Amino acid sequence: MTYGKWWFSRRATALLVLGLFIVSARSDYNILVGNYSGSLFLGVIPTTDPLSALQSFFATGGLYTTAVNGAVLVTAFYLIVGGRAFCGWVCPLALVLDFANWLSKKFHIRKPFQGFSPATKYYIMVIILIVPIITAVAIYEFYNPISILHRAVIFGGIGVGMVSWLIVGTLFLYEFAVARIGWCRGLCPLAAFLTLIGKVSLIRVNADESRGEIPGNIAELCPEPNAIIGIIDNRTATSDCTMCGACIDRVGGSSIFFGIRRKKQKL
Amino acid sequence: MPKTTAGISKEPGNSADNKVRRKPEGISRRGFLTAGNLLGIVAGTAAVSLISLGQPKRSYAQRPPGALAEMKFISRCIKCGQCIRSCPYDSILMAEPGSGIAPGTPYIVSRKIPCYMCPDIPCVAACPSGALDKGLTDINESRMGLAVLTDRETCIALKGFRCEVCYNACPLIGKALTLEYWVNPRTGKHSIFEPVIHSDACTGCGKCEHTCILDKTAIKVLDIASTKGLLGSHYRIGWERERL
Repeated sequence: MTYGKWWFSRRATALLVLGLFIVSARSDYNILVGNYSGSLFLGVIPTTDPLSALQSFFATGGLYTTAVNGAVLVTAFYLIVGGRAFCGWVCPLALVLDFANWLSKKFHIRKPFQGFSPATKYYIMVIILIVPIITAVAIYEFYNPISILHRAVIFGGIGVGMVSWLIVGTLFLYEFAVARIGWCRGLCPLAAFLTLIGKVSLIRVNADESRGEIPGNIAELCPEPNAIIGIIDNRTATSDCTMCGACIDRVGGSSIFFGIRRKKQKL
Repeated sequence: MPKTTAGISKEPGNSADNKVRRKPEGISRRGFLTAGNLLGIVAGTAAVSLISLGQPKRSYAQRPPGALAEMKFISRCIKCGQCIRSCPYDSILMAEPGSGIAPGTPYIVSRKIPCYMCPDIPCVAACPSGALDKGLTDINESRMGLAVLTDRETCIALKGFRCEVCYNACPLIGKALTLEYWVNPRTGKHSIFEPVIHSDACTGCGKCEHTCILDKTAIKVLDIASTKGLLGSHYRIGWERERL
């Protein structure tokens, strides 16, 4: 792990967003009111988790304009910066689970379970979108661990209950000591949804050997090995990339960089 | 970094110009729609559907003003907490998982802080999804629940004391909550001032529940669906027809 400027930038961004939510929820400053499921930025710009909005729409057959606008805005944003930029730069659960993985490496934990295949998250995504149509209940949003975490952190203390922390704690342990392919890569339906958005997003991590050397061990640095394959094979990361910038921090120079997505190049 | 993920070898020697073709693990569009996978999706959908249907059909949570019918409300609500933040009295809380109320949805505990029925209804204005119905423009038309005198045995008004506290707390005093006088049969010369709730006016704001002077309240806001009776259509209430 190289702690370069991208590492600090994205951790700072994630903490800033979380901080703004907490400050806005607990003071009179209306900067970013709400939470990651839906919010109002500076009293004007609505944001809505598009996957959550879809579930609500499928369950109830309607959604008010503000939430629709928010979902469109958020989708448009990630169509530009890369679908899973949310995972790398914003997601509060990723902060916790990255910490679990860091600890796991620190203590040289041997994880006994391979984990669920990265394909699993797509099936989960499909299921949580079909179920609301059948049962009229948007069930996943009750138990979405990302939501459970940020609801507890942002609005916690208002409601009392330990179940939220038990769910987050279980995932922490799963990531820390159980599965090599953890929650984000294997199971998270939002990661699946954002990967699909990322397939057509504008900005990607690109590589250019004419600008400098690309280290051979670059794959070891990447927290999302599917993404780096794109770098190695096609000089541009796949949509699994969380735009975390670990590879850019590592090379230091400009041989790997954020840029406009290239057309796939066949070697 | 695990070396076990299917199809990827991450030996340190791998460089960008490695000629070995690697396929990203995971999924292709064609691979997604095999018979086995579809079966998995169907089985998973069935299982999660069953879990969904096993969710409590009706919680006894008092909802903020303008809330849609319970089953629609809990799914239309995107659990963003903006109504909670908009409430100037901090009346609205967010349900925790395991509380028996759909997790993440807003609710009110009147005994702690009731709804103070702001005329501009900021919670409805703040709701981005329409789970709190924008059609509600007059707070007096809201139906957060229905106040019910749940325990006539402990209500001190029915023991013959002059209490009237809930009556005086009611924002729609004289319409939603009235006092009915009748002779105290114990003394034969005093009156009983019985608080009576009228569902055509009660908004379910919970101020009566909040203010009840008993250690445990005898008047509570409950959900209308499980509280209201329904008179059979064959009954003819003659004296009410005469009054019309």
